[in-house]
Amino acid sequence: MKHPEAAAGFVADSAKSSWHDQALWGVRTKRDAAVSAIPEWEELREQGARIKAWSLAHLDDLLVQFEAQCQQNGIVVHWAADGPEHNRIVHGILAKHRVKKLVKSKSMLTEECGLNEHLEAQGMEVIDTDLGERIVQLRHEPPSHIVLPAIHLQKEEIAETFHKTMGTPADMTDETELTRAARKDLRERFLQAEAGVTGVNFAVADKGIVVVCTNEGNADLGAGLPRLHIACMGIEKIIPKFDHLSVFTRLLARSATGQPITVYTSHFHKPKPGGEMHVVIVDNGRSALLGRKDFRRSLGCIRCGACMNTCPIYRRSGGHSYMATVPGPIGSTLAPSKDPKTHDSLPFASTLCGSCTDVCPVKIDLHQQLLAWRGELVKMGYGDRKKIRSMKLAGKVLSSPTLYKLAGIGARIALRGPRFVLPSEAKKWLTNRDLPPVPAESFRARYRRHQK
Amino acid sequence: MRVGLFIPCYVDQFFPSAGMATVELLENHGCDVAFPEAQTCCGQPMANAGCSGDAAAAARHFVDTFSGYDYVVSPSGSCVAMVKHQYPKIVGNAASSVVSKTYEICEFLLDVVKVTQLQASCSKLVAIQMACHGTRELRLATGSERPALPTFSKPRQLLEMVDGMQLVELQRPDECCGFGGLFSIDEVDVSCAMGDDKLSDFQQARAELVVSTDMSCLMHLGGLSSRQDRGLKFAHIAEVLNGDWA
Amino acid sequence: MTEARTSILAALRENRPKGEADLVLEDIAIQYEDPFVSFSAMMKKNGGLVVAMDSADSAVADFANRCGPDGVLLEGELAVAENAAIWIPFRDEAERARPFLAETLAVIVRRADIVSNMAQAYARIGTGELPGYGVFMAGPSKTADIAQCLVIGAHGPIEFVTYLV
Repeated sequence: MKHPEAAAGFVADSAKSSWHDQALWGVRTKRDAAVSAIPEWEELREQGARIKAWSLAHLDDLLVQFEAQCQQNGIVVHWAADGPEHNRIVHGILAKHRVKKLVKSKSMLTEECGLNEHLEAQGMEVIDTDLGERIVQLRHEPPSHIVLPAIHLQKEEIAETFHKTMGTPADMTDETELTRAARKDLRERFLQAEAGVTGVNFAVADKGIVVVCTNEGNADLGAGLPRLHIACMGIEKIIPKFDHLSVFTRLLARSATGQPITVYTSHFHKPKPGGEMHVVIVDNGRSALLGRKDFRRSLGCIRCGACMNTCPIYRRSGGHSYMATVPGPIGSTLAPSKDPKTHDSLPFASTLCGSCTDVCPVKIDLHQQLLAWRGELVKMGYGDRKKIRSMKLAGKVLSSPTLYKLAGIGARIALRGPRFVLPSEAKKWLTNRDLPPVPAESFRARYRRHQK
Repeated sequence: MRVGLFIPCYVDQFFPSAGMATVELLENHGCDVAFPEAQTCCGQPMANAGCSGDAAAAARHFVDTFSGYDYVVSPSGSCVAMVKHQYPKIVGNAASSVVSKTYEICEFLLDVVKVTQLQASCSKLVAIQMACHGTRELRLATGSERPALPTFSKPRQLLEMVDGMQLVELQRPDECCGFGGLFSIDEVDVSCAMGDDKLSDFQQARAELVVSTDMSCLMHLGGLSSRQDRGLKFAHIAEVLNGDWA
Repeated sequence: MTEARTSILAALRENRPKGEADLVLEDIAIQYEDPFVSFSAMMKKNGGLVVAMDSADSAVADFANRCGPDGVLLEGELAVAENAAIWIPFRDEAERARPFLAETLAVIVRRADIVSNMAQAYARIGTGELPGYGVFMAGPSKTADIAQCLVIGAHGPIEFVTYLV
């Protein structure tokens, strides 16, 4: 299935789609309010963009420096070329410690690598502890948003899930009561866990520090209670200096939810006494993406989700319609670099309105990348071949004044005639929309009279 | 000042009055306007479909047609953005003879002609449909995404020069209408949902007339409105500035 | 040296963009006339409580009255006006998780230790010895994962009290 069909399914439930749109627009509005409190916001974005650009140009050196600093602090560093290797490494560490139960805070990387499925297949119990992630885990669904994993669900649906899985009363739909129920259930699991896996928001090269940002406190409980902490990161999470954290902690939460900072910004510098800390550094296609000039800036993404909240298509089509680990505009440029055939409709799931580019805290040229991907995909032979043939024809017509004039006359005549002779594109237009009335004269004709 | 007028293909065929209003506005403000008959299309439909090679032929033709004028002006922010931002990528240096002198009509009137007053009036309640490429590529107005920057809007500034102008405020002043060229066909369901939401926003603000710097948005919105008998009217901003909606 | 490490670094060297200019960043972050006022307003917005006290001793006494044995009282090293974040270094390594298990968490910060922005905060933290674990905390734990409805008290503390002394 491609994006248009998946989107149509979500849009068809217009009440829900409209609710989803309003909920995310609300997040966008909060982001705007937080941004307007920071007069230097546009310069701050520029700094974020520059640090990321510099980091991408020095990734190899920065990773080596980060590794050395971590080792000095007693953190064990692992490298994984791809998802399967990452999963094997994490499983190996856990197996060595005879871990049967682990808790995990949000990590899009482990989602990308399919870590949960891998560990579960080997008999381990993995509990996602971010409330949104826990909700989708209980429903056996993927997250639909990188910051708000269960935003596609309404209260009643979550209440039903909790009723079935945790035995809460069927009519308990109050968000506070539901959250308390999950808190109680997960508190037990935190206390029983033998290891905690976290993602990484920022990895500081000059100090060997891993920074994790959450609002719920789940990463700190997961990393702090068990003896073993494993932090999994993509190679692009590196920033050069400790001071640079100020730029990103100022950008991240304001862009994500409109908060001035996440409730917890946790800096892991050394393992706890008597404990072990491991960092797994993963490539999984990122180094190849670095070599693609038009698209490498997408590696600067700090996963705030602002481009999703602002995207008028995402808001109405829902995250699952993208069928990719990361949905929305950033996902639509990341996914084709991994698998162009599967994801060839995503760069077209955009009006190129440019709102994503303007909210991006690190100034990734998102809509330009989506446009560039369209060209790449056509070159690779993906996309709608029929449309491409008609574009070839259009290219010929539109570069020749004579053909162009004939086509214009043809179109005007065709649109006055019966609808069944129209091409399928025009018919699709006409399912919900009228065409403008065809005027008696074209502009050209009127202009000629005007000149006389 | 010799101004070469670029009229987008669909405006030529479907919206001649938007084109004529542009001509009259420019002439009334002392511009020597010429409409080169050899012009075709800026090439955006092909470029946006990923067929930039096919767009290049149209782009080169545009450059050949217009490079001799002092300015190139168009009543379409989207086409102008195509020329200014995509031509350098598609046809390279050849684009340099048009890129810096191509203007959308509102920015041309304000920044080059330096219009300070207009001979026009309007009696309708007017909503502005801020077209995306005008807002976020040409920066005709401060986008809602950038609230830390000083607020300005060139279309609004011009409309406020119209006698009796009553502008209404929208809940989402620069949300995309959902047209997006071929997007309106490929993703017809999302496209129409976006358009319907825009129409509802215009109507909750009690707008009677919707104006835009791009007829493409209005072709989509007008098509939806007409199918649903919403009773809204649509016009290119040049028509209002020219006094056609007195 | 693992194979992955070697291949990743080689690929990065091969593919990295060349000619990136030196990274020099201007000091641009917002300054507040009265960081205390801004901090307090922001902490309230974040859902935390701000209590002004004349001394740390009276804060300790108030805490004993306010919370049962489940409460935890910590000391913050500095606080930030722009977002009400309080830097809490864990130098006593034993109990990293303890404050997150508490229903009520209280933090004592000196008014003199409120800086305007994160740039100043990180500059100050960076000059000292970094703790093995350190957290900026900016209020009670929270979530809006159920239908975007804000709930105070997710996994961490439900109540957050700041004593400014």
